[in-house]
Amino acid sequence: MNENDVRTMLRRRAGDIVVDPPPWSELGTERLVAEERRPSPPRWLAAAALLVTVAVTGSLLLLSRRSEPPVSLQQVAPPELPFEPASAAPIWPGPADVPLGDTRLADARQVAAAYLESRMPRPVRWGDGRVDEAAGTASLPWTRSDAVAAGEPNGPSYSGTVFLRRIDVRLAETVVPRWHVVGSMDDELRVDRL
Amino acid sequence: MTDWDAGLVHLYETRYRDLVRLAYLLTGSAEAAEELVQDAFVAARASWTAVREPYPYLRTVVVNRARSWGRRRQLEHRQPRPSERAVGLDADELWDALATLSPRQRAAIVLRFYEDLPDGEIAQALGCRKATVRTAVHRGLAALRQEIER
Repeated sequence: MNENDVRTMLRRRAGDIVVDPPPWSELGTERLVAEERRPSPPRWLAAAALLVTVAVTGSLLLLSRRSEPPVSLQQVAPPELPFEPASAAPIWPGPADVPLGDTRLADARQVAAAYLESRMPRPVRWGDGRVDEAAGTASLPWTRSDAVAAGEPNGPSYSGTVFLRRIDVRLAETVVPRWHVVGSMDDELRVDRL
Repeated sequence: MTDWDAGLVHLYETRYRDLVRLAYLLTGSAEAAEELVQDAFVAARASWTAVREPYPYLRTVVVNRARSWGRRRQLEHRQPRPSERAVGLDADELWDALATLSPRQRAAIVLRFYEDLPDGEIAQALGCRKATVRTAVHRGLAALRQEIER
């Protein structure tokens, strides 16, 4: 068996199946409506989940003060957030030790890095992403793989994107640009599906 | 319909089949493949305005969902036997062997030999380093050979 055998087999298998896509209108309504109408859990269950979340988060905070273990990636916002990056409200107040007029807040990449560092102490690898100064929006992808770093090539890796929006701030007589994190998504970490 | 929505619809109409075939190779299940791709398109609507490269983005979503599907299936079934996997299709030793790979190895093999992607793009889709991709492909091929010789 060689690489060409694999290539041939994959092409043949891909051609074996008949794909008949449903009309977009059906996909866009039925599935979305189904998602929207998914029955919500009972209130007591939601309250119990909230209590557990608070307890787990509190425990993690206590542990992090003692030995700074890795923060659970499940704390990262889930993917596919229903927000509009160009108008969404900030979800993070910004780095606590940086004054309002600091130039670092005018750099989308530095703000995104500070945001992710505030949630995950371990470093991530940043992709190129896109910073659209004219539109005042930015999307910056990142990846992180604990398992690979630990020598396990088949372990999980994580990737996501931080979305930012620039909101100009008036300070005395000048207007300074400031980037805000307005969203965060990830393809792997679906808390609601774990 | 907005411009960006129209772009997504166009992508759906032109690349849906390609993505389903890719998902099928990643999962081995035609039914799951259609589900995964439809879910990916529905999910893409939520973040579509921020997407720079639409097809690679959707491909990455499909690959990640297929890997998650594969991990869940491995947990549920613990490597089904070939006879269980080949339902409805001709017996195919190499296809059956593909089902024995880990989700990441399988994805690396499919993206390399079906999509013909370079290491960098596979690494981006899998969220890992290029070296990891090369390792996954190498070990995946070795595992396929071993499975066939068994």
